[in-house]
Amino acid sequence: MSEDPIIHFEIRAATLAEIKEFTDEIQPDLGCRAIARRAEGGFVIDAYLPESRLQSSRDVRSAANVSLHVLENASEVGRARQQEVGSSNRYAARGEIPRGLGRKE
Amino acid sequence: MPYLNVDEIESALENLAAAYPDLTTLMTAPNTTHEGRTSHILRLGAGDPSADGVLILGGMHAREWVPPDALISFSADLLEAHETGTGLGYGGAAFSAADVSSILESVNIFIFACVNPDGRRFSQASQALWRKNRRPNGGGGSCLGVDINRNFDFLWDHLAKFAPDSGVSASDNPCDANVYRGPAAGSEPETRNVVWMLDNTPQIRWHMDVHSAVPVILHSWGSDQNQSTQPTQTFLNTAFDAVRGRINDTAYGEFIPAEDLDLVSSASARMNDAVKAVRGDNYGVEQAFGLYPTSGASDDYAFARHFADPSRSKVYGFTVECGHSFQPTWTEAEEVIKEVSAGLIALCLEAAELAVGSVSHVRGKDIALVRQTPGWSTIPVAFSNGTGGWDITNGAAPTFIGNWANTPGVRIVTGDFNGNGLTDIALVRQTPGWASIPIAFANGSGGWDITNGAAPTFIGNWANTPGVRIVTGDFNGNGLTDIALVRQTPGWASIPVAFANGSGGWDITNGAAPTFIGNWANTPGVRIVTGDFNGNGLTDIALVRQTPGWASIPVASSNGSGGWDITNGAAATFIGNWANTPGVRLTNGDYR
Ligand SMILES: [Zn+2]
Repeated sequence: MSEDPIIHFEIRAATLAEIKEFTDEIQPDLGCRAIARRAEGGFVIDAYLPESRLQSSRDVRSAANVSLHVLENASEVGRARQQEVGSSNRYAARGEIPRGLGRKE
Repeated sequence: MPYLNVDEIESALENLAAAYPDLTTLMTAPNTTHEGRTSHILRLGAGDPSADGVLILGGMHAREWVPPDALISFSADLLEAHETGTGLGYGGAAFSAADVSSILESVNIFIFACVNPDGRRFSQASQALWRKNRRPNGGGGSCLGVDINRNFDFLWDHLAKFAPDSGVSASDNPCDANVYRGPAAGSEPETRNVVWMLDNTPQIRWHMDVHSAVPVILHSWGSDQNQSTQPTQTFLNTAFDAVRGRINDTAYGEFIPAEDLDLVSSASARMNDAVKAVRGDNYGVEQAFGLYPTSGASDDYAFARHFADPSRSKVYGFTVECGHSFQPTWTEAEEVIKEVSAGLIALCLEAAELAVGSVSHVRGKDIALVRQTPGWSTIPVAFSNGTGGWDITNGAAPTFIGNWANTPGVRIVTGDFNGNGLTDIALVRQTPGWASIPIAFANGSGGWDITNGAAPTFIGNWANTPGVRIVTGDFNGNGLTDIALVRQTPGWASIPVAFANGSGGWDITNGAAPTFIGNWANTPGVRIVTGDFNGNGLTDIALVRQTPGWASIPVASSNGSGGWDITNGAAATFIGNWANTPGVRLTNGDYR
């Protein structure tokens, strides 16, 4: 797994059809729902693929009409974030009342 | 403050329930997960436990770490703000104490913070990008688990229900790392816990599934592009199974009634405005069908239930995809939590403004039951016999109850609209689509005479303006109950009144009250109180502020013909100090 990490990247194209032609061909993980957003110069959608498949996807037929931008090595980021997870139970005592991040004003 | 682990989420819910017993109920989900975990749902509400509900889900996808933390923070904020009488601020978004109390007093919020705890545990402790639950499928590695958000009973069998070339986002392969649909619809305990909430809490009218990350706010449908002109093209119609789900085709679009589309679009836009106010990130609003259709998702399932079985309440389904990555730094996660909180408060305000009780109790010596979900066609009454006994009737009102009273946004207003001394029941709709005010006139023996008098501008335009509150009284002293509209958001400078003419019709006025409405009524923390404050037999309208800043009680005295005389008498300590003390409630009456 560490040899082939999951890469979080953006697919940009002028039209939705060009994005869809590419995602039809490479079948990436598009997250919860396959939602493209309007962006400068067209549309953008977030996607996830193992690094090796991302490399080979740059050579498929429909890749000519899209541009790919790597955002992060999601596997590496995930391992780092696992260090930011509560390790015990900060609410183990019944009197520890959670407080939210809103300003009480 | 790092991300919550699954034990901390459960403890946080339990501790909130223990700290705020008057504002919460801790409910136990009936199905334990594959690894034996039990989940809880926290109900937040200060009013009628049967009032409209908002179901909010988090943690359905294991790798999306922010949503459960956001739901704990959101719950804690609402409870603390209500208890201490404050508003809430998130970056540039601000909500008043009156907003907080209006939410908790008008609706019930059901927080299901972590739907998939087994998956979250695995993601946080082992494989960070894990998405599914941890169902044993007979294989290891990615061959474990089911995508909960492809397991709901909505077009679940994607191979049979969608065009083969639709690219539907689902898989029947247990080794699919992300979108395995499971062996059957609703096969997973996590799925069945959500279904149980919807089955057993029929007052739920809003369903919000919080995911990450795109970001975007999504509304129905996810199965095909929406259309509102071909009512036969629905998920229920098997004639379209071979063509469903293709993008930009003409053979099939998922039917959504135009008024439902209006409602979910405007609610989504309101959430987006609130999110954007936090730090300027414009999530945007989209239909859940993007490049490809989705089967078995929770938001579609929630909305579909009423269309599959009209005896079930209509539930509006939404998904928020928050933030820009599954596992941002905690510093960034805190900003996303603020965005989610602001968006959820906006959704709950929308729900509060459209809230209807599933059963409303009409005051007086008798008790009537008005059902505002489908299934009844009568208005039962328990007539008090004066010695502790009750005479029960169940008079027919088929269209009034069977069709009109359960329309979204309808409020029940009682009064004596024909001056015969008996209480009548009117329906005032506060969402677009009507142009009249139906009345069920009590005939005195349990029966009802129905009218549906026109009030085109009053109902069609004014009553559905955001921030408008309905106020009843006898504003012309003729002994008949009239209906006034007081707007508590900026934009108006008058008080419209629909005067009952005694036979079901309405005479509309729109008398000026520029400062009273234009400036004072929309001040945060102001409550409306009616009464005959000058003893002339006509109902007047007063404004009592329950947040600091005022030292007087403005009154708009009715002049009997739709006009208003404004006064602003001093009440320095009463308003300036006492009325804004936390926990103080207004009770008006004749005390001298
Ligand atoms: Zn998700």
